[in-house]
Amino acid sequence: MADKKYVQKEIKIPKAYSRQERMAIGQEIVDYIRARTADGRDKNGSRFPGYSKAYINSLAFKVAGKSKGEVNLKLSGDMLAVLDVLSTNPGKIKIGFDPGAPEAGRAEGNIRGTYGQASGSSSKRRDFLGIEPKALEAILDRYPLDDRAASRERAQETLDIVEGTEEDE
Amino acid sequence: MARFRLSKSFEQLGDQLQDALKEVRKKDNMKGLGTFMADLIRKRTRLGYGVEVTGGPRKPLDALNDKYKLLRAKLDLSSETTPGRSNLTRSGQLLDSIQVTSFKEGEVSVGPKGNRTDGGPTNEKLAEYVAEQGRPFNNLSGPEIKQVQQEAAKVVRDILEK
Repeated sequence: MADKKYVQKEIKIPKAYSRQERMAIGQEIVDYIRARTADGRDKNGSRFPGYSKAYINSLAFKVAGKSKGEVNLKLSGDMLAVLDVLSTNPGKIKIGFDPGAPEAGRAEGNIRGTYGQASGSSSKRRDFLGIEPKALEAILDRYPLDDRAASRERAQETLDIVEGTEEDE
Repeated sequence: MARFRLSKSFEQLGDQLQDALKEVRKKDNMKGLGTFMADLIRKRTRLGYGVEVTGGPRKPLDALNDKYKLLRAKLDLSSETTPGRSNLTRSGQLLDSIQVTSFKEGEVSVGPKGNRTDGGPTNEKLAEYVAEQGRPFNNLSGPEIKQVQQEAAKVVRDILEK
């Protein structure tokens, strides 16, 4: 079981947003984190440390079609796919992982630099769980508090895209 | 068989989004999603995991027995496996053959297909056999379904931004 304190993150936003707006903003945050991580950058926008020689020479690395210059925390793609908005309350959005999910363990390994070991190394940490202030500001600009109609419309569209692309049951 | 079907109910959504979703549901876009699905299944299986039921978790494929490992050590194996690795890979033909097997509006299926160079059963039959033997792989796990859904959402956003 992963530790909640590492695999969940609370992000503060203005209290004026409705629940629907918070869910949509949260969705845009996780989408942004996925894209930024795919680009090889951590929660502060810095490049991730490179992969170890042992990992580069592993069969898993080869099978996954990875290249050593592209550190993007993606092997199967499952970890970043299950990153989600967990809950929202006025003024805050919680994103991250269910601690019991297998992907949460992988996330914790990356975030702490532990990778299955008891203790981690800060030089190996690849902490992707968070958002830079400027990036958050850019997302919130799409939900203007002085134009509630535009904000609500954006929220509706963001959530509708998720709903419209879900699998048919 | 691994299949993905897009939600049919979107009439309640805005006009622009409805148009974008109709575009995503078109056969060519579904075929593109199918190629994405095929790559997911191929990679995950080569990493050593199977999926028993659609939407279920991935699980390590059953380990190989010692006798079979010794046999594999004498074979000309694909570079994407090792004698001791259980990843449904020997020559590589089975997983290399995973492709889109059918596609239509809003729906796509993928799986192994075609004949093998060793003249044995087809790739479809071999896939059925290994599943019956306890190593099912041609299903999408829960997280993989999310990956496909997120890929479809990307296509929608690209259409909306044009």
